[in-house]
Order: sequence, then structure tokens, then C-alpha cells
Amino acid sequence: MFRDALIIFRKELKNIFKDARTVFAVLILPMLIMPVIFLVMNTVSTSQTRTYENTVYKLKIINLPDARFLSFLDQMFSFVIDENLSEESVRNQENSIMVEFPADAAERVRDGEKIDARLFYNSTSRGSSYGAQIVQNALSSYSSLLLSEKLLEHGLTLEDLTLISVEKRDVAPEESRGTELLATLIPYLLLIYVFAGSMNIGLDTTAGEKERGSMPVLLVNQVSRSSIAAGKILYVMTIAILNSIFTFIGLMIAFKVGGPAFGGGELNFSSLSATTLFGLFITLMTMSGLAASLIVLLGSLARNMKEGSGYVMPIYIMAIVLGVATMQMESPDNPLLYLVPFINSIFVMKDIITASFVVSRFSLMLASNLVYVSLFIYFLTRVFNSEKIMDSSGA
Amino acid sequence: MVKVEKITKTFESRRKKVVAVDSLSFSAEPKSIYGLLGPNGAGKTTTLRIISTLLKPDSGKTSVMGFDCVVRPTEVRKRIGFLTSDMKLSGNLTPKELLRFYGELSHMRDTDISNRTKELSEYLDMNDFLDKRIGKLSTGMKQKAAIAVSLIHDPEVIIFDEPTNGLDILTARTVTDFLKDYRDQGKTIIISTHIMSVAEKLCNRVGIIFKGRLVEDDTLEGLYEKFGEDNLEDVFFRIADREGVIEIV
Repeated sequence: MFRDALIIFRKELKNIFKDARTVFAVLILPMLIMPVIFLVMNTVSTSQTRTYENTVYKLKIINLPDARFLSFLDQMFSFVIDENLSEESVRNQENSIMVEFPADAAERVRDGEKIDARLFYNSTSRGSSYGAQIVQNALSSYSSLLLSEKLLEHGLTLEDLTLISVEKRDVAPEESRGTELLATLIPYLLLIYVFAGSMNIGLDTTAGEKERGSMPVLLVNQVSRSSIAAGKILYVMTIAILNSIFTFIGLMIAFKVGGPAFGGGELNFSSLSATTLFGLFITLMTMSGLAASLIVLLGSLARNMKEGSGYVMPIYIMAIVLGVATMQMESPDNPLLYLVPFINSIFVMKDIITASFVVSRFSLMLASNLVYVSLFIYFLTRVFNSEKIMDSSGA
Repeated sequence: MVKVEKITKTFESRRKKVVAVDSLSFSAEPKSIYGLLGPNGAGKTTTLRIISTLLKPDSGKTSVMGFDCVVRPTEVRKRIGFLTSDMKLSGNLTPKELLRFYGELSHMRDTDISNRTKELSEYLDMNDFLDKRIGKLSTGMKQKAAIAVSLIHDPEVIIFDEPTNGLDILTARTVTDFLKDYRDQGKTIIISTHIMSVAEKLCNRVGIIFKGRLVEDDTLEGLYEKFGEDNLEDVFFRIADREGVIEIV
């Protein structure tokens, strides 16, 4: 049986690898897409920040209490004082901000009394919002200056107001520190890409073959139906794994090129040791096998690609929902959850990435996934033996 | 040899029940071409699919070279070459690679696959496109490749459903010539067609099906004599009139 399955597997793989466009879509694109997205986002974000920094903002200060506030502003951004600004013009002009102090602000500052300032900006203008943030920071610095002067009169400093100083010590093992983001993103993305990478391929090799009329020629061959089922699952599973691995590589490159702006700087890449990667690969293999056998089964039930897409799409959406729902979750202790398909793989992957590998959880996931795949192969063989499903000539 | 004995096949859906094949019997001998003739929906394809083990009859028995199609389907599959007109080869493999694939599935040895590929490609005039991708071939070339695929394991029985359907005149001629040649080599051939001229050119014996029933089973000469006609088309219309399918004015 296995020999025949391998013949089918080899033929399908050869067919796909002879098409440069498919190779690009299945292998190269997943590796490029994440770094390109991160790079573009990083570039756009940096250039946007640079633009804001180089912008000369229009500012009006009503009832300036103290020239020192202006020097704070001078250190933080470029601006020109525009006395013609009003609430109306701030609403209509880009990069305009207005600060209004009370009429007796200077006196109150001198007397060490509290003053209320009003900041006018336009939240729909990114320039105005950015400028308002800077002015708010300047106000905050000015406020600290006034406070420290007031405290000094009583022989105190700002530090004296902090009665308890806290020193945080992270006692997590070195290898698991900085892995939270990886544990959040990697299982989710791998699950998505396992489905995304195998969906079209799986439907093409089943419903597509029916549609093209090439299925009967395969079925009247002496090869057993279980070999056909196994060969097709193996093929779809391989493509799913390759797709996920290349996505994973792409993601790692993306974090590197994306830099600290997207969490790259906080990641602990050294946590991805050879053992971790091997554990992830085994988990990915069983998860891909499960997804592939499910897609091949649904594709075989369909009469054509369109119908097949209708069957597989809800499963794909469910996988996305599952991925999102478990993103922020920690691996639970309840062993029953490690019997639930796909969820089990997500939690085990989280365990592996955060260096909290639990043998019993991994074993449960592995065993249950193998049982599911065997069941799917059994049902698929029955589908291949069912003339009602495989033969569309009648009725 | 192929024996079909009183097979019946019904397709049921929620709304209706269709008797596609009704107690149908015939046999096809080696060194002959048996033609199943009938209008669309008469039950020709269903009969051929039952012989090819793709469908199981509700009752009756079919055997190929002595092997029961239901009880020993693998033995039957080893001995038949099956081709349908609606089979569309596609993809990135070349005819050569496809022939190797089906040869391997038939558990042929490497050298046998190579020799048989050479033989078939010369016979079907495929040498010019043997190494071109299937997806880039013309309809006629694809049909030749499909024929070669169904014959790679040198089957004793060849079953072709509408072999010349949709083909241009040149490719159709290649197909009919090839069927005659294979008949002369001693193979048992069963074809289905609704084109009378194809049946007249090829078949030694003809079975005429209407609504799932085999209403005539005879040689061409026997049919001409029985109905006092000199061509199959007129014979066919006489039978259709007799069966109440059409009325000749």
C-alpha cells in the first residue's frame, strides 16, 4: 500500500514543482510577504515620524505664565507663534495647536498655586494630534519644574515623594524570557498558513480531478483506494508543512528587519534552539497531517472545486477564530483540551516556545492527532469506495 | 472476454428513481469490437462503468476474462484499459511522465515502461510532444496521450466511452485506426457511441440500448437483414419506432 501511495505522492509533488508560479506562491511568497510587510510598515512609520519631527507647527499661547515653558517647547519641536490662531482655525488648519492659560496664570505660578491649562487641537489631523502630544509633554515637564521648585522651598525634592522604590527581578529561566510574543504569534500564524497553504492544493487534487474527469482513470487502476487516499494526504500535508516552514522563516526575517518598532527588539531568538525547532516541526507535522486529511476528505466529497471551497472555507474561518481566541491564552492544565484537534497543537507549540515543555501534553496531542488522521484516512478510503460520491455519471 | 449477465442499475435521488440499466446482457469476444449504441441517457456509460468496476450493479453479474467485476475488482482492473471522452488531462507533467506514473501504478518494471512508452508514442504518433507539458497540448494531442495512458499496461480488454467524441477528423481517424489494429491483435474492445458511422466502421457486433434495455444484439449484417435496410442509421430509426421512442412518418 505504502509503495503505491508514494508513487501518487511523488507524481503530485513533481506536478506542482514543475510550475514556477505555484512554487513561487507556495514557497517563496510566504517567505517574502512577512518581511516585505514589516519593512514597508517600518519604513512608512519611520518616515511619518520624521515628517512630523521636521514640521514647523503653528502655536498660539494665550496668557503665557512663564518664559521657561517656551524653552521646554523649543527643546521638543519646531514651531512659530501665530497670534491669529483661534479655536476655529485650529479646526481647519493642519499642524495647529493652541494653549490657553488663565488670565492670572503668571501670578498663580509665582504664588505656587495650581493652574488649569486648555489645549486645543484637531484629533482628525495627525499633525495636530502629534503636536498636541508634544505640547502636553512640555506642559508635563513644566509642571514638574514648578512642583520641584515648590518642594525645594520646603527642603524636599521630587524623589522624596516616592516612598517605596521597587526593583523587579525576573526569575524566569533565561531561555524562556522574551518568548511571549513568539508564543503568541507563531502558533497562530502556523495554523493559518497550514490551512491557507494546503486548501487550494487539497481541493485541486480531489474535487479538481473529479471536475477534470481524470479521477476515473486513477480509480480503475489496480492500486487500492486507501493508497490513493494516503498518497493524496501525504502530498497535501507536505505542501502545508513547506508553506508553514517558509512562513516561519519569513516571520523570523520580518522581526529582524522590522526592528524594535514591531517587537523584534524584545524577542528572544536564542529561545529557538535546535530542540525547540524539532519539537515545533513534529507538532507542525501532525497539525498539517490533520488539516490535509480534513481538506482532502472534504474535497473528495465535493463534485467540483467551487463546491469544495464551500465545504472547506468554514473550517478555515474556524481555524482563524481558534488562532485568535488562543493567542493571548496560556497553555491550560486540563488534559482534555490536549485531545481537541488544532487547539492541542497551538498549546503545545506555546509550551515549546516558552521552554515549558510538558511530556504528557505533547504525548496527548501527538496520539490524538494520529488517531484523527487515521480516522480521516479510513473515512476517505470509504469515500473513494463510494460510487455515489466518486462517480458523477449516474442519475 | 467480457460477459454481462442481466445487470440492473438504479440511481435514486430524493425526488426520483431512474433505472439506468435494466436487465442487460451481452458478451464481447476477443478479436472483436462490440459497440453499444443508443441515444444520450440510454445507459451506455453506466454499463461501461459497471464493467470497469467504477459502479456496482444492483443485480446481475459482469465478468472480465473470467473475473467477477464485483468480487475481484483488482484482477479486473489489471486487465482493462478504460477511457472516457470527458477525461481531460491537465497539469504540468509531460505525456512521458504521465505514462511512467500509470506504469508504476500498474507495477510495471522500469524497462517495460520505457519500452511500452516508446512503442505507444510511435504507434500514436506522439514523439513530437512526448516531452511537452500536457497543459500546453492541443485537444487531439491530449486525447492521444489519454489513450496511451489507458493502454500503458497492455490490457487485454479495452473499454472506450464515446472514443471519437469532440475530436477533429484527423485525431478521430487515428483513434478508429488504433481500435481496429488492437482488435486485430486479439484484444476485446467495447465502445459506446451515438455516431452510427463510427459503429459501422468499427464494430463486429452491435448492441442497441433504449431506456436502459438492450433491445437488439447482433452483427451489422444480421441487423441489416432483419430490418431490410442497408445502413445502421435506418436500422436504428426502425428500432426506435418499434420501441415507441420516435414515430416514423
